[in-house]
Amino acid sequence: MAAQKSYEKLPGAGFCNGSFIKFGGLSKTYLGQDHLLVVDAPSYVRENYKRIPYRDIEAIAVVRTLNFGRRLTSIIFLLALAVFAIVSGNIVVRFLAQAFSILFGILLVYDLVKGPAARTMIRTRVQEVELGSCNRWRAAIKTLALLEPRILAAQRGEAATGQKQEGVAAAVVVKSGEPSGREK
Amino acid sequence: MNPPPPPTPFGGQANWENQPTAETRPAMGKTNQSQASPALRCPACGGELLISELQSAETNSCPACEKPLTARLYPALTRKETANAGRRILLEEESACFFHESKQAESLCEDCGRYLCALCEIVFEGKTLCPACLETAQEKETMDGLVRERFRHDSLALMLALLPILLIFPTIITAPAAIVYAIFRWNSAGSLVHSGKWVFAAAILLGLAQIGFWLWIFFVAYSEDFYL
Repeated sequence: MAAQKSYEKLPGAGFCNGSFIKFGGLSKTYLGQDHLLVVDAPSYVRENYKRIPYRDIEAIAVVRTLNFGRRLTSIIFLLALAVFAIVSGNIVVRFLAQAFSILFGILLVYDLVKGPAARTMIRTRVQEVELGSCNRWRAAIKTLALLEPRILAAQRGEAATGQKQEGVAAAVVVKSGEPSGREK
Repeated sequence: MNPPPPPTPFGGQANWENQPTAETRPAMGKTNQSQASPALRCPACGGELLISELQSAETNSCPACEKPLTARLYPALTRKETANAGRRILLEEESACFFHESKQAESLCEDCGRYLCALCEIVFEGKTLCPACLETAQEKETMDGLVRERFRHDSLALMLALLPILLIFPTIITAPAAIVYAIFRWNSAGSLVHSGKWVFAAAILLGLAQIGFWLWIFFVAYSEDFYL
C-alpha cells in the first residue's frame, strides 16, 4: 500500500472547472504507478480523487487560450486606479486606490510570469476530463512531456502481452501549436 | 512531413528533444476507427476534433476556434476491448464459480476464498478479488486505490489553530480544541498525496504556543508588579 502513496506531483495548479467563475476548488495532478491522479480540493479540508489509468488514455489535447483580455482589463483597472489616486484629495480614497492598484499590479505581474493560458483535455473510452492544473501553456507542455512516456510504456506493455491492438502503434499525432511566444 | 517546430515552453529553449519525433515514432498504421469519427473535443470551444484533422499535417490549430492546439493520440484509441465471459462447466466434478453456477472456477478470491470464473475475477493492485470483496474494500477504504474522497482532519486542526489568531480572543477556546482534535484524529486516514503527520504536529505546536501566550498574559496580569 505504501507504493500507492508514492505520487509525483505534476507542474501547475488551477481551478477544478477550468475557470475562476465556475469555482469548484483547486485542482492538482499527480503521477501514480499505473494511473494519473487528479486531486480536486473543493474546500480546504476535502479532497476528491479521480484516477485515469495510463492504459486507458486515448488522446490529450492542449489548446492555448488567449489571456490578452484579462491582461488588458488589469492594465485598464491599474491606470484608472492610479489616476483616481492622483486626482482624489481624500486620503482614504487615495489609500484604497493605491491598495487596489498594488493588488491588480501583483495579479498582472503574476499573469505575465506564468505565461500564456491553456486548457487541457484528456480523453478515455468512458470520459473526457479537463485538467484544471494545466491551465498554463508551459505547465501543460511539461505535464505532457512527463506523462507521455508513462502512457506509451503502459500501452506498449499491454500490446506486448497480447492485447488486440490495431492501427496506431504509439503516439502517432503530434500537432504543436504556434511556436512563437507571441499572443494573438 | 515532419510536424511543425514545437512551442518553447521551458524559458524559451527548445525542449521537445525528449518527445518522440517523426523518425523515432513508429509509423502510423490503418486505424480501425473511422477517420472521420471525433477523437476528442477542443478544450477551449468544445468543437469536435476529428482524427483525420488531427492527423493532417497542415493544421496545428482547432478548426473551429482556430486556437493553437497540441494533440496526442495513443494506441488505446484504436484498441479493441475483449472481455472473457468465462468457460462453462463441462464435467460435474469441476469447481463452479461462486456467483455463476454454470461457469468454471478459474481463480480464488484472495480475501474471502470464493471460487471465481473469468468474468468475476478482478485483479486490482496485484490482488485477485471477487466483486463483493472489492465493494467492501471500497466502502471500508481499505485499499488506497479505491478511495474517491478524503476529509483532511489535519488541515481542519491546523485551521482551528491558525485562523482564530486573527481575532486573538477566541484562541483561549480554539487552541486547546485544536490540540485535542489533532490528538484524537492523529491516526485517521489522511490525504493520498500528502504523507506525514507534520500538519497535525504544526497544529499541536501552534495550539501549545497560544496556550503558553495566554498563561503568560494571566501570569503577568495577576502578578503584583502589574498593578504597581
